[in-house]
Amino acid sequence: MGSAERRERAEAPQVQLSAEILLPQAKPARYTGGEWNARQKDWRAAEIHLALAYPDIYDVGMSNLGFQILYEIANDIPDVLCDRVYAPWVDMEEAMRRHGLPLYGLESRRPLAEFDIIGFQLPYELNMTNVLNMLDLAGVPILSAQRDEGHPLVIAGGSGAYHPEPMADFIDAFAVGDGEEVLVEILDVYRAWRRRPHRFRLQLLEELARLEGVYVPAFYRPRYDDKGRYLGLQPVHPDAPERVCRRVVERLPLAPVRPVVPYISIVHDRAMVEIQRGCTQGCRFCQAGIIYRPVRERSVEEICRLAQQLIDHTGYEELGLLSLSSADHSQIVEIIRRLKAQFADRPLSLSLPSLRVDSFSVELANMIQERRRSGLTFAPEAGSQRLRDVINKKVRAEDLFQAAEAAFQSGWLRIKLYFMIGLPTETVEDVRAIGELVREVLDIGRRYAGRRAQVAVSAATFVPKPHTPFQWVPLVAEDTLAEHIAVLQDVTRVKGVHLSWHAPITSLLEAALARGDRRLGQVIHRAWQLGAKFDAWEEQFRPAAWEQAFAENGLHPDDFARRPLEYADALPWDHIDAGVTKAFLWAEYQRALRGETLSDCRGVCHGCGIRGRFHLMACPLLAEEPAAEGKPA
Amino acid sequence: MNEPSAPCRLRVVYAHGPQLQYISHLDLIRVFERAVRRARLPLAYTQGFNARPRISMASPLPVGMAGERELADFYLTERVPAGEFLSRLAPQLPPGLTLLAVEEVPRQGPSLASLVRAARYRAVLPAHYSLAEVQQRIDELLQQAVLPRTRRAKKGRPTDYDLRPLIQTLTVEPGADGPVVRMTLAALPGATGRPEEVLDALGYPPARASIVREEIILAPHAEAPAGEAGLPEDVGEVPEESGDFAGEDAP
Repeated sequence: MGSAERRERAEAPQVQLSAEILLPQAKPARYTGGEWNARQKDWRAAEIHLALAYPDIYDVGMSNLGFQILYEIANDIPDVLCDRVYAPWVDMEEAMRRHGLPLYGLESRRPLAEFDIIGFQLPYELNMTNVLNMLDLAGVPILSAQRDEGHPLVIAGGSGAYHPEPMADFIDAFAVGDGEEVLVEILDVYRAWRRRPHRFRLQLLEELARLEGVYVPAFYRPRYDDKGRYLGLQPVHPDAPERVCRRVVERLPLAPVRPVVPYISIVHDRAMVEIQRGCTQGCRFCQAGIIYRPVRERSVEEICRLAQQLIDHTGYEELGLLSLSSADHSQIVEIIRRLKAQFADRPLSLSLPSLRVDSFSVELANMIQERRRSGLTFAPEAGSQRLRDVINKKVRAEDLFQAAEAAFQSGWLRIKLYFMIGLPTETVEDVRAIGELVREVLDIGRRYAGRRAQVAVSAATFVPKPHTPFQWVPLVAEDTLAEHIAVLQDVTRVKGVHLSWHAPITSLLEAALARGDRRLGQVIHRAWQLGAKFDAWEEQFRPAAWEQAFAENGLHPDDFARRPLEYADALPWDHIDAGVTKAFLWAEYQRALRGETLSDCRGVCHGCGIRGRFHLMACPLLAEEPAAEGKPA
Repeated sequence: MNEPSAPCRLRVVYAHGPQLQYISHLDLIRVFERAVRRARLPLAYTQGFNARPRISMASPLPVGMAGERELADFYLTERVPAGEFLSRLAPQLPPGLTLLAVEEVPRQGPSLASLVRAARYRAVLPAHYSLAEVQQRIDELLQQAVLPRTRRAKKGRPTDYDLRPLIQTLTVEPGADGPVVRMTLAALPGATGRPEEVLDALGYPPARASIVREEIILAPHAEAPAGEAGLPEDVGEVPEESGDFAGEDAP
């Protein structure tokens, strides 16, 4: 496209939000921006306009640390203007469509179609239709193939980029792995392309495909056999690598210290310091445990310095110490001790999500919560020792009872326990064992807190995820799930125990979207046309739309969610290299079936492949060791 | 409950601009709290498990309205001169909040909310309304002895009340964008006049965003000497604890 057209686009007017539109909204401040630390840059002075998009509402997206990290990195580049955009809730969407308002960047209020790049974060399978809905609200063609040089480049990252095929029709390029460096490289490629006198979209995609960690789906063709079984992905362009290796930042980059502070209360309304990335526990159901390897600890010094800047720049009254397993940080006690001393002069609460099930974790919780000990959460995940061995959740019943004892003894009144139902090899006996655990924990609580002791049980359906040892496992059969949930309800029907479980209706879809191949693109597209959006929100979920969309395409969710897979089978995410070898995952799966555990790899390396793949000098990368040298060529 | 912990009480006059007209009353308190914390000013907190910042607003501003001279009391754990408070807090406020004045007030005095007597509003009507007609409608309305109205509460039953005694003044004048209706409405506990209701009674569809609260009128000092008359401190603070009640208290 010519530069004249470009200039015209760049001067598009701002979207006008009238009181008539905003006042009836449940929380109009979701849509007006202008928050503390929001970056208001000059539209005309910027060379690249990037819209970071989160396919869920503001309240959820604003709580995402990764999103804030990329927002700060992009806006720190002088010629880049980076706005945020979230999915408008259904009431706002309806008003926007009625008034003909396009989706816009929160800071500049320019229509999204005027941006150069729209970068989606894909945190969860059930957000996929929202991506389509947001593109449509922006007036941007939904299908990548229908976009040209006059449209924004649409890229995506986050955990969804590790199994990108269902979204391949809609996204021009996926960035796989840690986003801190690759985002900057993508912007550099884009800038160089933009400065050319003649620009073709194909050139841009070719240059992106040459970046490490970037997957351009248009350069691949899926193959199926005559029975419709997936056979793999064929690169059809010389710039397309056979496999795309995810990006890893070896040393955790400095985290954002000026995150946007919302006006309205959001899901996690607090300052966040990532104290560690990755996890060495090796739970076999956990995708995050694989795709965020290796463990990279942040040093105590750095955590304290970041915390100080964060609190000074935000005024937050709570600081979350984030990681997949906070108690695993080799310096965790020192971190808490130092932070408490550092902020002794003002009311500031610390929070420590993702605690292990042991009494050490209770000690940590006691350190950060001296008053108001209301509820503690533990995740034994399975009821019986046998099943916990299968999933490699290294928690013994005694660990849980000791943790419960320590907790109730020090004044906590409510313990919440997370379990999964439908795990591989699960039997009715395994589910009954949940009841025994729960009753024992309640009895311990009664000894210390009497009738005030409470146990909350939260159960979720296990959904097998790509890049885990259970990626070959079919989703649990519906009748088995129903039976197991009935047993769970039965064994937790005890005064003082409260059971909640997620309706399994969305689990089938989640599993199909997690394990599906490129044919799901048409299904997602059709389901969206039939009104599907906010599928993760139970009251918005439209099973009929999905049923029809699958049927019209001659498919069934079971084809993907419950298809039994073997080692030799091509998996729709095989071309994404997460750094852990398929052989290791398969060996783990076999160990699971034999009921064998694998120890935490902080002690001994089990050869998952990550160390060799990224030429790491050390793994895990602990805080107090000197940072590893650069990669050898 | 506050005696030893809050030796300093500062009354802040501020403008609440249209940029922030869509945030709720409770959100606004959090905005102030975080700004005060960024300014490292010694904000006092309530005791107890759920420590709350000791910031008391005179009267919640309904969502969608701007306020030109809003009032809030900030309680501090140490004495801070009013000028210093202003100069440290001002740079920490987001666009849309502007500090106009700060003064120290007796910390034992009645709560700010209990001192509120009335509020002045300004509403700009669409330009196609003729000034003469608006004037005529105002005259007719003011001649009524009673103005029975029904208020639909968010929760509970609709209540009937008389709007007429809540209207203290009601005038119209020409303006650049259309006729400007000015009104002073009573704002007493259980008897708060709402400008949209007045516009509605005049036969104009209420468009809240075109309404500005110009000023909150407090009781003269003689009427509520510090520490004697007036409502006790706690009563005045009750509404803040009770959630989003902006403009919802029925007469």
